[in-house]
Amino acid sequence: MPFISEQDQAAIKQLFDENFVDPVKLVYFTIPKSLLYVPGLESCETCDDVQELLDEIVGISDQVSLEVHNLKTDQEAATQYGVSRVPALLITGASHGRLRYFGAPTGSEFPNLIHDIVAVSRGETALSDETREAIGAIPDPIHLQVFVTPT
Amino acid sequence: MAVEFEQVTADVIEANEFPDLSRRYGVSGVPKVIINDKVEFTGAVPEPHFVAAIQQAVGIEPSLPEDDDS
Repeated sequence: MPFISEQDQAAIKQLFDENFVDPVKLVYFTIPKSLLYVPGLESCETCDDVQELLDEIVGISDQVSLEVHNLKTDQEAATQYGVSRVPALLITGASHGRLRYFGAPTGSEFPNLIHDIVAVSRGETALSDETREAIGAIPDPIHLQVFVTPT
Repeated sequence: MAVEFEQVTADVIEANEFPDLSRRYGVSGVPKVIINDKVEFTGAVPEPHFVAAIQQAVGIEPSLPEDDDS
């Protein structure tokens, strides 16, 4: 049973076809449940479901690719992307900064994920010029953490 | 903002899956935004307010349009 309905898949495909500029690579960090249980090794309840969801998104468009890393075995990639919790999804491409999703992007977060994938592909968003000017003038790193719930 | 500016890292965090983070940052309502571990706000805010909060977090005088009535 797919996570994304056929109707939604068609709508997403059209959205991607009409708006994509550059390809997008989804970099996904997970701890698969298929690993043998080892005491002390944390397990991830939603990781496998998110993996399936991402596989479906990639299946919709050949402009979206998926790179999967096991958090426990791929320390180098985890350090490179600054990831220590899973599930963690980075949307990479034409964007200048880093955009990361921690936790399952389901429910009301799913449209935001799709919207963000398009924005990364275009390297631009609907920010106002005033905002662009203000943020562009700040040389310091800006770390935004946005807490959400899927309902 | 993360899409357009290289100094920005934006993390979307599902609060229920990371209860320790939600506790650490005192998340009781969503969306809750924390900027550089310094400034925070809960609920959707107009874009200029978001920008002002970021400016505050990095130590710049916020440039909210409605303050300019001199």
